[in-house]
Amino acid sequence: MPADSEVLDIMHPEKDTPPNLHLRLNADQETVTNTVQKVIRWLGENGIDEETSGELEIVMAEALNNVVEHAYGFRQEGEIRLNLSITDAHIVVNIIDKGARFSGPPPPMENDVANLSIFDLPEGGFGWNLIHTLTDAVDFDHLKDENRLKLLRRLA
Amino acid sequence: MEIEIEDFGEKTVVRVKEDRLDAAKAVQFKESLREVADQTPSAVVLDMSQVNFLDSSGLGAVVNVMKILGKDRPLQLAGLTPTVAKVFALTRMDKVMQVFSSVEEATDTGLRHAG
Repeated sequence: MPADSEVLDIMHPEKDTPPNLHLRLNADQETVTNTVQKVIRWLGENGIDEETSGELEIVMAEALNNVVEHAYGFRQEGEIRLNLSITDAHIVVNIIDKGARFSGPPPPMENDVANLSIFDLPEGGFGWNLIHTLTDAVDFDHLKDENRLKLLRRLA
Repeated sequence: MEIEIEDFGEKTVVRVKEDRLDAAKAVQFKESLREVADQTPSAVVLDMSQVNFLDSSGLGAVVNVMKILGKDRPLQLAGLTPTVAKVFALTRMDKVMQVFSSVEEATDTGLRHAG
């Protein structure tokens, strides 16, 4: 079992180095939309450029909607904790839920859509590729009945 | 889901009057565009210039509409904003759909006015 201090570290990454943001949200798509926009405003207020925050908006929307869809099965209920911290070098995003156990992020996939007939084109499955492409590290752990996803984005 | 439809003869322009095309809006978008597809015989230009955010659900909905229209009525994109263009580029869907910088370019109306 993990020590309590380890749990605290996950919930409060680099807790001595503000700015940090801690949010709890209901697991539904409307709330994800509103929350992501709120976080983007917060990133802007804390000096993150538009291109980076736009990319993180994609990353967070994908990761949070995965939780709504897969962990909580579109039940429109369930809690998601979303924690962000900005340091000089990184933005760290932690997403924690108590939904169905997730086996972990699939590795990046090569999908050469340019050679497919339009009728064979995928209509989903883009999410994890976008997350991998737009972050520098993806960590996942299942601890104490919680799915814990940690996304790290380096700052230039 | 608010859209605006304009008939240019060879092409039908559909202006998406939404700030975001994401998981919360994808189903409504598909339904609205399916109605357009039922009524138009021509290629469709999707004016995305007012859409500032698109996620993989929104992208999936656009691909779905492309399939409904089929090969004889290509779906073309116009006016992609930076974050939206990025999603199309990273998923390589910009290689599958024709992308124009503006509706004017997609419909040639700019050229006609200039000539």
